[in-house]
Amino acid sequence: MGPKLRVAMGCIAGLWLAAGVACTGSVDERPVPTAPPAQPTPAPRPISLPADEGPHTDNLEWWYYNGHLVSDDGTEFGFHFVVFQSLAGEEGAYAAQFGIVGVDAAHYVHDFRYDSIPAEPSGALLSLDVGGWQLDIEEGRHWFAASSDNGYALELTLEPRTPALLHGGVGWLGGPFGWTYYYSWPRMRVTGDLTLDGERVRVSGEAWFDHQWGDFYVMGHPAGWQWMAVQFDDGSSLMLNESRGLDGAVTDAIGSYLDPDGKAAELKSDGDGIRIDVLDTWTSPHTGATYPSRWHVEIDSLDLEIEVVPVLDDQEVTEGIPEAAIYWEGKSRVSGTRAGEPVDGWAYVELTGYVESREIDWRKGLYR
Amino acid sequence: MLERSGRFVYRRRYAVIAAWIVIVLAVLPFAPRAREFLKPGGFTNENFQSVEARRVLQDRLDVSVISIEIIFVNREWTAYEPEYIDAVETALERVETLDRVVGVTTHLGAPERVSDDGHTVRVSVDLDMPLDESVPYLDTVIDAVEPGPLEMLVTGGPALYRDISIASESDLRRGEVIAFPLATLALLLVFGTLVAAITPAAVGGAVVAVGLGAVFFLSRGVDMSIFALNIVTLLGIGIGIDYSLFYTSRFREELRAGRTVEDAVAAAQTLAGRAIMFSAVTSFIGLVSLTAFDIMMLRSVGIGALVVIGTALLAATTLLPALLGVLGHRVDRLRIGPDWAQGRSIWKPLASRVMARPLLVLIPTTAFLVLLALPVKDLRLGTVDATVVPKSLESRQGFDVLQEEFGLAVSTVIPVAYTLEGDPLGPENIEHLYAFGRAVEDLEHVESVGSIVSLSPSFGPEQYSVMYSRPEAVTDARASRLLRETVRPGAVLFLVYSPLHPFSTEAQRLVGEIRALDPGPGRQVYVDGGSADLKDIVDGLYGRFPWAIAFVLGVTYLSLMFLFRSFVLPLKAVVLNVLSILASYGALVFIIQQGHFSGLLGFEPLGSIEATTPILLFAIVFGLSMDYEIFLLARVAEAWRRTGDNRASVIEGLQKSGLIITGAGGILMVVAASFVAADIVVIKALGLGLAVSIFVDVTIVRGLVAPALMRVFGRWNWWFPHWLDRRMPDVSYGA
Repeated sequence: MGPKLRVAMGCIAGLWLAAGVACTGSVDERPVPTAPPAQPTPAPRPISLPADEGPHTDNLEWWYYNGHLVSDDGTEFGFHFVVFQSLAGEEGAYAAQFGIVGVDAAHYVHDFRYDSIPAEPSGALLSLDVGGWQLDIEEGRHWFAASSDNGYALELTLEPRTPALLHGGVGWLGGPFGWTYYYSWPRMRVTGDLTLDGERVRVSGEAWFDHQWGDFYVMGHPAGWQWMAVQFDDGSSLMLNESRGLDGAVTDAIGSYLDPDGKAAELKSDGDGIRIDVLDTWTSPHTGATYPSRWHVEIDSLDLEIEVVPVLDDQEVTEGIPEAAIYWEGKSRVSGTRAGEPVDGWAYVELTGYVESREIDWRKGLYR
Repeated sequence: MLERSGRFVYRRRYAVIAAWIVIVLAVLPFAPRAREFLKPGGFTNENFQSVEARRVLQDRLDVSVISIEIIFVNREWTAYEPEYIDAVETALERVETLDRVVGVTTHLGAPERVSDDGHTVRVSVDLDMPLDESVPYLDTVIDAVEPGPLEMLVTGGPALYRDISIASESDLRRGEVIAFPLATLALLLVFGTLVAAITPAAVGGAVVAVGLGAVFFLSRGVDMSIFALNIVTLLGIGIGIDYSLFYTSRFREELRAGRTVEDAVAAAQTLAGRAIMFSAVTSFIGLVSLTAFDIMMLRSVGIGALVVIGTALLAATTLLPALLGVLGHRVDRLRIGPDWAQGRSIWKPLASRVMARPLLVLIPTTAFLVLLALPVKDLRLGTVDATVVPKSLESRQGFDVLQEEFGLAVSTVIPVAYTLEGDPLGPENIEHLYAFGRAVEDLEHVESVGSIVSLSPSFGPEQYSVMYSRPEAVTDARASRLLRETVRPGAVLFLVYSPLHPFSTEAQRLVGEIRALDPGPGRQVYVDGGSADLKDIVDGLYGRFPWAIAFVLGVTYLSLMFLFRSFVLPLKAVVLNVLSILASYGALVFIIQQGHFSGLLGFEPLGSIEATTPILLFAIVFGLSMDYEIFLLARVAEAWRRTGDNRASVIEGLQKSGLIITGAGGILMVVAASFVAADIVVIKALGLGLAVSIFVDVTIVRGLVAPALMRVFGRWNWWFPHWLDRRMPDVSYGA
């Protein structure tokens, strides 16, 4: 190569190198700043009914019903129906379950649905369709319809007969896993139809409604609760809840009492002497979990002593929810004394946090 | 030397033709197989931060990066009715058993996979294989789906890449079917005789065949993009014919001047051959710049183009003189068109008028070029997604459903892998993760963050630490899913949601801001997603682009300086080329990005220009425009050396090269325009950009602006220090 050509090649190579070594710009790094504190727990506001019957924008909310039904021929049934709403930003997830128990037939069925379609704006306070199951709430009237794949269904209309029972005194509870508004219609008149194995049956009876919403999470085993909604024959109503923490120890027991005249009383474990003793257990053949299955309950301030006995052991709800959320929801008989006088009634008992869920895959063998 | 080579080829013309026949016959079986080893992707680079992030997501968080998206629709049932759920489960039953399927995610437990009206469901089938292998595997998955009562659309990476391959091949066929006959027709118009017209077309055909054969062999060893095929065809036909046209025209001119066939070949080889060599060199320079980019698509297109230009140069200086040598005077046989050489040229009066009032021409034409280039200020770069393929293809239809029903690719989702040491759910790590999540939430344009520490605004690190001290006890379906799917030992996934369009500059800035958050020692943040991809491509490409431009302009300037012994002419050539390119960029933005004339051209406006297109266009257009400049200046320089009269030289140069430049430009424009009919919008954009720039170049720039400027510069056009002249390689025109 001659010197002239070398000069020319040198020029080209120089420019080429300049093109090759050029690099891109970058943004200056900065350390992750200290996080601002989480949004403080809001001061509770008074519950406003009927407006608060409808949906809210907090991360968790549910509408829950249980009840005791009798058909025209005197056959007794129990049911529970619940819709959960879980919100994350604009995304909503809905899950619904129902269970029907035949007292004489000792037969229990349950099913579930889920959906992502938010509540339709309508004239009603609430209008939800969860996988084909429907729940509508208007002022003074609730209605729902749900059916299973195997021929069971319920379509019931419910109307409150008493004032709303605001739990925690004002209808608001705080705890280690967040806060929640919470009220009940402890006595609702129920009419409608059950479909049992394809056969439609006219029923009527009395139901209990719970509505909770707030920024809270439910933790499973060993945390959980024993909850009872009791409807005494004399027209009084009682809600009791005993909570367990993440170590499995009981952290609190609270309750609300509504006397036949509609007068409410808040119950606390320390001042009211609430004791819930488990008398028996039942081990689920479905999950292997062992649940309490008979209780002796005492509340000193009410001079109340009752025994609560499930009409059927196997009333476990196992499908359509994460393993840790599997629960037992059962119709139970209540008998005992208040102020020395006999008192009977029906209850629904809810037991959560008894199923030990499998270890998350990526944690297997780690952190032991 | 060139004259000697011309005479050599003439004397061994039959051997040369035979050699070419052997070469073409040897590569012919491989040309149709050129796409066998080509890859449909290649718009990114292994060293990009987003690609590294993808590796981290895949390796440390088990996030599948290759998935087939299946869309099910049923108008009768909503997604969570038992009939719909049963139908989805039945449809996917066999898919879940396939050995390369590592996960099937349905709408069950994932409500975001259901459309607002509840009738459409999105399912992801994750594959354990690289993208290349996933394309042929796609049919295995589709065959395993039994949709029953559900309507089904298949989209996602593998489906899109399959459709890009299908569409690009059909574009190629369409391009060839349209381009060859039209180019031959244009040749007929220029030469007027069938023989003279067919000769360059035959050379163009040989160039394409050899180019495609070369691509087949090259792509076995080097990763090459499927788009290399389109470029090889486009440039093969265009440049092969261009060079031959210029050469043949000179040959005929020499014959008409009374030279023997051998002398005419030798003269054409000396004068046209030199111009072609320098044209090839300038094209080479433009295209070599593509290989400086760490993007396989650009690099391989550059390689393909270099092969084709090399082949075109070789064919034009060996095969063509041999053919012309055999044809001799018969090159003018079978006249079926006008003989322009006998008629009155429009170029001389045009040049005379331009020379008479140069400023009157310069000002409006320059203003017009600036006007054409103006839309460039609105240029928005994008990356390849399904909008590059037509709506008739399934992957595009599926993508449109994902956009319309699920808002995908309309707003931005940025996956961020946060790596750490120790138990990711331990209190110290939770505190750091929480702080990072909140810092990201506080960035401008962030709508929300999805992570295990972003569940509720009222939860702080203490609550999360308590919750995650027993992660198995979390009952909330969403939290439980996040714990199982977005956490692994040593890494946690954050999903950052923003209403910004993924291709917006704000979204790219957001990526930069997240990357700039330093989580502290032992922790690292990796950002992936479409916006990160684009940011890396833009940074990678356009960080180097000014340097590549400087390289191309610099080397071109030097080459032209060697050739024409002038400081001013190369500068003028470079500036005019830049103007042509800017005009083509303006047209791209106006048409492809903003959608003007989209109905006429049959495409959906993209709203952006694929990021590699301006670079590709620059590399190709620069070389081509320079061809015409050299063809023009070569004739002007010849006249200048002979007469020393600037004005007369320009008029003569334009008169003698005008038809050739218009003809060559017309042919290449026809070829480029045939790519406007392409289904793939990237190819359509390239064809359009090329056609516009060539049109602008051969009409306004070469016909009006260039001669006017030469008139304005006067004798300065030819000023060159004597001492430098003596020290430079002797390749000058007319020296």
